[in-house]
Amino acid sequence: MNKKTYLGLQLKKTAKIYPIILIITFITVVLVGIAGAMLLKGDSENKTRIKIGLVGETEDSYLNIGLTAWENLDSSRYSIEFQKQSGEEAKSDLAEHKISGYIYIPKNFVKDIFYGRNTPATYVMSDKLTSFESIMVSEIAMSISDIVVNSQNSIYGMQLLAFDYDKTADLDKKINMMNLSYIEEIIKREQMFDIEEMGVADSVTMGGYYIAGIILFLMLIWGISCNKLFLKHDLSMAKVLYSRGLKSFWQIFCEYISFFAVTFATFFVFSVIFGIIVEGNDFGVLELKNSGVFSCMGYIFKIIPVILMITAMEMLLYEMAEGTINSIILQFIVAVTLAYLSGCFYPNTFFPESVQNFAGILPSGVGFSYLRKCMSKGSVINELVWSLSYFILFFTSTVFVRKYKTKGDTQ
Amino acid sequence: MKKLKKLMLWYHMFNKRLLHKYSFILILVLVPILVPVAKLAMSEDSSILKVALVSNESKSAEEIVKSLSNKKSIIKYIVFDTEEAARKSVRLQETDAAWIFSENFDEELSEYAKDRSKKPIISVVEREDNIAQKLSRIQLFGSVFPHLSYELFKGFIYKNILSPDEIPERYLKNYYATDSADGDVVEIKTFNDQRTNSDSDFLTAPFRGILSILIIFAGISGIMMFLTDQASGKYDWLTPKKRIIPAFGLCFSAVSMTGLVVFLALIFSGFIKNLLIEVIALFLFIIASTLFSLFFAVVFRSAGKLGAMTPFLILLMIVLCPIFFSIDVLKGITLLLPPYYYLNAIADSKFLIYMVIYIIALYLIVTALNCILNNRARNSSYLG
Repeated sequence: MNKKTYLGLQLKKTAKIYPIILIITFITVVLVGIAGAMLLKGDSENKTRIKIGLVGETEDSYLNIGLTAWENLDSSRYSIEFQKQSGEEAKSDLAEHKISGYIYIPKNFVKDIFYGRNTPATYVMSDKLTSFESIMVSEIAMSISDIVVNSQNSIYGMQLLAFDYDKTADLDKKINMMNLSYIEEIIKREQMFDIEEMGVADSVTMGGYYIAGIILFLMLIWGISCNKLFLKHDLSMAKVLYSRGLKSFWQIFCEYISFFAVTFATFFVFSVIFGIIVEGNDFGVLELKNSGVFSCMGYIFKIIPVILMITAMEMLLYEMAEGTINSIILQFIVAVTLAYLSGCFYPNTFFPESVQNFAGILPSGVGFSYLRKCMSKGSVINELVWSLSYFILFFTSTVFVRKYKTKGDTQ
Repeated sequence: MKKLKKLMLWYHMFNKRLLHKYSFILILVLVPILVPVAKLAMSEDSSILKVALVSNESKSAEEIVKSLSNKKSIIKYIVFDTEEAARKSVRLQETDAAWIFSENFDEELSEYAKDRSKKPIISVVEREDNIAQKLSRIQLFGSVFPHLSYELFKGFIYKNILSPDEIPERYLKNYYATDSADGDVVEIKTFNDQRTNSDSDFLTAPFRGILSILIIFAGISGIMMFLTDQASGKYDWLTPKKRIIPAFGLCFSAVSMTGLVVFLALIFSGFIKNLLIEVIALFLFIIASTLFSLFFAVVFRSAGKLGAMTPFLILLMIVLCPIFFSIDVLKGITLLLPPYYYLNAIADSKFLIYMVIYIIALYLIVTALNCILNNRARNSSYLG
């Protein structure tokens, strides 16, 4: 059998299973798209705010004044939302991750603050943290606690001084005045900062970052979809081909071409669909502004080196693992580990520096950086060299494994 | 009893078949090694934001910078000597923001406390403003507040109570500090009073979710193996309805072995807090995952089609189950996914009951589908 015939057969085999792959991938992308759009659009303000439950003595009039002020005047009202609940409701919502935490307000909480004997409110956060929001809110709660204690210091200091110097006339009025001046300072705190946004320059915004992350993750798990192309019961076909003069290199080359073709075709089709969707709506993502079908198609052509690298890696994994279960589990473990370490789920800047450095040299890290730079129009020469080197490494390793297995079996 | 014996025999045979391949054993061994190693790596210094601080040698600013950089926080503070260096770190993405105090910060703070027009006194430089950046500024304000609070106190006293001649500032300071309030206003607790979280836990929390998906995928790949075997005629001696028995055996074998290594990985990584709940939840999850995979064995007739479906399932579980995100969309679909019950059951034991209900429902669906679809196939073959 010559190379041309084998390549033709491989392409035919791919074409046979392609429609089902395409349909299922389409459903996947549509469903994930709906979930994403529901998060980004719809009542996006509510979905992106950190929800905190309020339980206990929530009907105190001073507390309610504070809450009303928060809801109407405070700059954090767009980031945090308080909702009054019963204790049971809050516990159940926290367990189901509907809220990031809840604050238990004890009896006489506000009254005790007035008299300087603080009965602390308790911020209860999940013991199984699924997000950084919960920790962030706990740190903010401690900052707010410091702010209240410092305000108390001022007000009691003033009262003491008034008594010592016999200036108690209109003291209640003065206490109110001082309270109000502190509340005003807290509400207007953003005026203290001169905020300068540099812009993302040659990097990407968080929205762009996550789009690149989703593309990379789809590429990494894509190999599992194509298991039908690679799963073999034994090496008899490879040995027959070898005995008829088709060397391991050409076997792998023909199989790889069909795998790459099906991968590229899928990503190309989705770039067209995605381009149509974003032509009228950028979903608030800077990188999608003024994007359309042609720019999305152009992007897929630009990222060909990453597709080459990842598909070659997936092919090597199939070649290394024996049997259905092993191949699928290995693909899954490698895909999820690489996606996690490279920052597809959490921004990689969250990780310790050693992990960031390590992830940066992994194929997924190089690929992710390439995808982002193509989005921000930064220079990709470094990543291009790495991607092509990885591609050559994976491809030759696959050939070597096939050669080793075929020869080993023949002997 | 006889049936159970038969099932155990199938189970034993399939275990032997899977363990016959060294690469399967190697993959299984990898899990309890990889997870603790990853957890250890993540326990190093991690942060959600890196902030550059520049005090410019102003006295109060130096105190603020010191208090921030000594704080145990998920925001990492890095002190820079010059504004230029701090700005450069933001530009080069080494830090997410820079908080720069001017050299006249003390005077500016004093003016700020008096000034009704409120001229900004701290320069914040960032690439983009997001929720984390906004919330981090509450921490900055919290650190500036003790200094601001004293300035406000001083201003108020001199304006409304006594003049500077009546009480010089050195005496005034004593009044501010002497009658301090008693303790914190807020205390932090974790759900079920388990105060074991460290700041880097949010990075390793998804491990359990990922491992739960791994268990399901062991089941699904078991089903794919069964479908491939079936296509090659390995189970032709069984009636189509009875083929669910080897499908169950193969799937349960893969799921239970993976479940065992996941359990070891959780123990070695120190994720287990309540052993009894963990064991019950994992046991129920293994059964739920087996039935969930069996559902696909009944519905799908080809390993290729099921394989094409798997990335879809991975994405669905990662997005909808509480692994990385807690989003409240497509709830109806979320309720169909086993990891939703397992992950919640660890935090809230009432989900163990929900998981039992889920298992019963799934069992009934799989059994009914197996009967209906195989009867239909038989009838159509008679007609054919």
